[in-house]
Amino acid sequence: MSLFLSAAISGVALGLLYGLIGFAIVMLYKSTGVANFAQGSLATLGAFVAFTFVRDLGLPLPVAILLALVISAGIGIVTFFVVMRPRAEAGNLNVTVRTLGLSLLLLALMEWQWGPQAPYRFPSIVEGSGITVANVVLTPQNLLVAGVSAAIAALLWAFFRYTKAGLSLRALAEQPETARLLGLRSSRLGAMTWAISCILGTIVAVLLAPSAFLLPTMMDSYIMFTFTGIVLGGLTSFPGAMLGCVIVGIISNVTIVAFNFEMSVVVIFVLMLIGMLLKPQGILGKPDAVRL
Amino acid sequence: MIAGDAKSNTLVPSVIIASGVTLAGVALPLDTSLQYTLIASVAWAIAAVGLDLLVGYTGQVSFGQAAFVALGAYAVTALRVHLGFPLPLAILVGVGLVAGIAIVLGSIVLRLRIFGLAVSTLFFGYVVITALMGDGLAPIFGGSNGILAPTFDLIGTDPRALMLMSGIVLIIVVLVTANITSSQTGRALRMIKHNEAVASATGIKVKRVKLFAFVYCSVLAAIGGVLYSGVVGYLSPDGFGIDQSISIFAMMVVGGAGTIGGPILGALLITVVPGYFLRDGHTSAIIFAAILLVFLILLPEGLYGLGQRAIAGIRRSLRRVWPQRRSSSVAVVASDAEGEADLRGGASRISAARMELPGDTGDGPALEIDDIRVQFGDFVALDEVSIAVRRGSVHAIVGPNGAGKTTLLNAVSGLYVPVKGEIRLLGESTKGLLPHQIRQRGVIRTFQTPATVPDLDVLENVKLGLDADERSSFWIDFFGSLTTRKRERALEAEAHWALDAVGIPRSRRTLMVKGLDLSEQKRVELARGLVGHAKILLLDEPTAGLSVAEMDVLAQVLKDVHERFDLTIMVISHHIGFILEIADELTVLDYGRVIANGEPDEVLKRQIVAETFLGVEAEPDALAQEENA
Amino acid sequence: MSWTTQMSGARARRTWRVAAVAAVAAAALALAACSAPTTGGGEDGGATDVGVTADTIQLGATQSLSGPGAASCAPSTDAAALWFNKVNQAGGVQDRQIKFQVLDDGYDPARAIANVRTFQNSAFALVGACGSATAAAIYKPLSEAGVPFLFPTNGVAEVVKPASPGIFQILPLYEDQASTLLRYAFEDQGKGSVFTVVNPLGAYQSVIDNSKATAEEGGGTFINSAVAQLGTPDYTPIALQIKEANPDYVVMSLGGSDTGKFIATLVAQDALPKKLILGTSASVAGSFINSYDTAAADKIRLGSAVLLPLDPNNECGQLLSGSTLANDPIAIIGCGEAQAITHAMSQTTPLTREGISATIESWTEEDAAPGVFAPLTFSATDHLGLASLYIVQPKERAFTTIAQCPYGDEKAIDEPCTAVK
Repeated sequence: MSLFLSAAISGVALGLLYGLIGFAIVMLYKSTGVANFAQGSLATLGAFVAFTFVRDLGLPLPVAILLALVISAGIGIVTFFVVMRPRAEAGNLNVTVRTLGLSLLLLALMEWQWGPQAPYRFPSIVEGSGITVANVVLTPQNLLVAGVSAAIAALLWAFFRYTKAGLSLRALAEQPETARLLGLRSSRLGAMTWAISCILGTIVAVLLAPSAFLLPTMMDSYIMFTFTGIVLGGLTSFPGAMLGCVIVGIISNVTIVAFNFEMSVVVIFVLMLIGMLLKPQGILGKPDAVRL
Repeated sequence: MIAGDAKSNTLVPSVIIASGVTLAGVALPLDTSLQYTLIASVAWAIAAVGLDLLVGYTGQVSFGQAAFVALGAYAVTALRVHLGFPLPLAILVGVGLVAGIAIVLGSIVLRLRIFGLAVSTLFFGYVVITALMGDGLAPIFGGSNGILAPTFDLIGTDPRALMLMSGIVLIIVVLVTANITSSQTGRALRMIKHNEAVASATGIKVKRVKLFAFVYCSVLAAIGGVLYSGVVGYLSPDGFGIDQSISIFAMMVVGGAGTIGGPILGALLITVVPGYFLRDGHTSAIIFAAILLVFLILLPEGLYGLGQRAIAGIRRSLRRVWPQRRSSSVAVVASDAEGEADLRGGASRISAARMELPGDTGDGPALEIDDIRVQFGDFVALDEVSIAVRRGSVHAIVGPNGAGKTTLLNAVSGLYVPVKGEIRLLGESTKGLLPHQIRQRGVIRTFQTPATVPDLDVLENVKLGLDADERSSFWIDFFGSLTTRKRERALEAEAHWALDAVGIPRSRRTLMVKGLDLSEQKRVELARGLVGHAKILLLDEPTAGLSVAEMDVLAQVLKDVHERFDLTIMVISHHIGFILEIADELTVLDYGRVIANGEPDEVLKRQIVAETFLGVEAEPDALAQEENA
Repeated sequence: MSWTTQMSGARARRTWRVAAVAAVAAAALALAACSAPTTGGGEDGGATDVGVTADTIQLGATQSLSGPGAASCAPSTDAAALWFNKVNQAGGVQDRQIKFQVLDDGYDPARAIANVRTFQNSAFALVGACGSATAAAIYKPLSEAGVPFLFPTNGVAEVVKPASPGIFQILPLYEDQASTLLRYAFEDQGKGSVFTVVNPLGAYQSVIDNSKATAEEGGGTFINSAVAQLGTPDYTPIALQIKEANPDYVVMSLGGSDTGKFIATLVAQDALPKKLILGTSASVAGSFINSYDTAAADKIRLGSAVLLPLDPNNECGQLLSGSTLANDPIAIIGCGEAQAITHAMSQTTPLTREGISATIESWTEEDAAPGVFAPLTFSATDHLGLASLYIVQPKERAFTTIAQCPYGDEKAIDEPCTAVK
């Protein structure tokens, strides 16, 4: 029994990580209606940038990370203007597949540049031995992730609710044409969204890299569970995304320990189907309405 | 809408593309490696064409297509290797099993919205690969070691024979898919893609049709898998993972979604280029990804669209160099003599059909709304609403914005369920009926924004109106024009008759609906309402957005139709002049309640109605006087 | 007036049609010319077999040059290319220069098979291949076409057992390595309880089965096993299971980066086994040594096909030193294999495909790659060359060899391991 408890707690830590990745995806979806499949690669790229600053230029870690965040924002803006914006009227399908193509390109570039010597040891932001709860050790990393998740969740919630920019983004996502007619500068807002999303991604990657080891495909295995958690919890809700991801993390680890990995995949799948049948918009999501 | 326009009339170009690929593979003296890569790309092309029907024509998504390819390949191989089935039996049973899995999965996941569907099919793919890789099924499927697939008897490993066989399968697949998309089922698919609620109201059994599309898509994937197993000769779970599902999706998009032939081109590009031309490693991978991205950004219509534009351009320059005799650009569908007979027949068909319909007890109201209450959560949209619509009358509903007029229409057509009260159609209650069942009882409605399918032409849109009354069969549609020609001709004749009735000229009937102006679109929608065997016509704001002249035309058309066929019509409108011209009875709604009912002239004179519309403050004395009167 | 307007309609149509047909025919011919297969060998008296001419030998390889597998695969063909280059500079093999062509398969079996079709009629032999999925996919077609497949990196037993004509492997199978490692460990530190963790790399179930069988034969116990996907995000649940089971030994068959991640998790969760962590050669890679948590170094013993570190005076050592491939075990293996190949080719006259198979089958304790591999033994029924496994231990960021153990199911189980200086 205690094994299950430990597994569940470690699952919470894992879920918080998924949720943190999920914030960036939800943010983009809320603002642009696009599901960004390149989230993982963009984030990993940001981590590699930070790593290059540390290893090749000898900069201290905090400085390197800050610089990497700035550069990530830049990459986000460039992505928006070069990949997403041209002929955006092509339809959501085309635009979503573009993110897939972008992911492929980034992956190929990273493999070419950094592939041969991968994986790399990425310096940790916090050191220490962590705390032990119910026979599972929560590393300083896990605790940092939890703290950062809470902080970012609060920030994003406030951003979308109270700031002018946040409200404009929501309007833009729900009714793009009307919003534009009302004077919202969709280009500027779109670029800003992508910049913020990339910054969020890099933060996650930098938190993740010390334990996952930095390599081009670092985030691939996380992304799918993140998407599952988001769909379960609510595509347009930050607390929902986090809740869904934590549930996925807990169920995943407990079933691995109780049975094996294959069972855990099946269980999560069934859980997701049931959840979506009962509440298609997610546990905390808002239902979509179409005016007839 | 998630995908762009789907194309009609893609049969010929798509068959040409498929044949071209087959011919090239068989006839040209290609490098063996290129030949094998080409054959593999045909297998993926078949899967991509299946996906196109689901995504490009029905507006759904699936990111698990590679998993179905895997299931098909593995099932057939396992049946041959472990149970010794001969190839044809193995294919039948194997593909049948995959169809079964698709039916079960589809019934669950098709209820979800697009993103949910995307993630659940993605995860399904993950589950399948994990299961195939795993230990439990290793004795059957070989687990992570993979399984050797025996070659096809009679063909063996001869690349040309394999290419010919694959090519023929591809051509057949293209033919069948094109037939489906231009048939009754195809029209239903397109309507669902446009708007599911509206599709339901026009009588389409949305769940069944969506499931059909999903299963068809998976079956095609399984067929692709069977081909793959015969060509590659070795199956391992790695080759069918999420990356491959995404590849197939990209093949469809890059080639052109909604074109059938496009995905074949996409499959060629995405399989052959990295598989044969760019094989040096990292730089090649980068180049390929860049090419893909560029195609997606600059060619939203895909390679098919590019090809279309190129051919149009060549045609134009050829015509400049070598002018042709001008031939009429509008195809006349039926020969004149036949057409005439059908037109006359059409009119009598309608009246005859109407009299035959069950439940017609002669007297009594056509539609009775009995004290209904419609609410959404805490918000009450309609309360204590009772309206009786006399048989054969034109009954108008007016009221300020938000009064609940459209809600009323939605309740009658079954899109909303009242929490209290009952609605009776020709004496029979509609409790518990789904929208398409209400449609089958003879209730036809139009929508505020014309619910026409923008990427179908006028004639096809009107034919949709009859589809609910025709018994449809997916199987008949497979064989296309051979079996459906007679039926389609009959449908066309009636469609023409209806379009005549609403005044759309012949020359405009082959145009895409999205190219028509609003008043024409409304009339097309009305025509669609007319061809169906309607007992009651519900018109939602037919005059909104029309000019005075256009409104006159519409009023004339409605009067004409009402007289000719003795239809019962319930119409919502803001335009009093229009109402006065056509309505026999008028009901006024405000804040979800009936505040007046009666003859139009008389109702409009009432003080309370004037207040509702004009905001005129009545003096207390005047009000009291009225009430006492 | 232009000639087009002078022509009548019907004639014009015919002319266009003829022109179109001519254009298509020309295009077809051009395509054919560009893609005509180039068959090697043929004209002069020096051509003894496919891929061999009087002065060249064509060798081919299908390899994961792109995609995630590239990092653990490409170094081996890179190193092989360096070796072939060196041999060419010294005059080649039997006065023939080696031409080495590597095609990318992205770890996709279908592409690997397509590459094989390219090489079938142009290359003398196929060299190495990375990963069990691709090797298992191509060995049958290669064997049936009579193309020698020399020394792939593969963990799937059926590729070499039973022996297929022309298919030869040097590297030991993971399942047999697991047995060897456990026997060594029981010898060295006493019998005990065993927990096995694997990635689904070829034949992982056999690794688990062999762990159980060997543990019990040696008087120990087998507690449990766990399977984790390659690239699994979180090894914590498995670490927790191990902590609760509290085994003496943990046997791993994991990929390079996964090994590092797994061990780091064991350290973080305070779940290290009481005695040793044993791993197969899948863990002996740069991706492991560069990333693993050195706190656990003392407890780790891995099986390796090659002696590490390489003697710097060794030919392969000299070749690789100074490049990024130095000390990369995968590159060392690639160089060693290439050395064995040129050794075999130099012993085969006339140089035919059947001849080289016969040469290799005749090897008994052949020192084909001195200082890299232990002496190799093959026979008509045994196509797996190594008969012993080195036991290596990581020390900081490098491997050291500490023992050499007999390996293989035919070898006597009672022969002890010998320590290595």
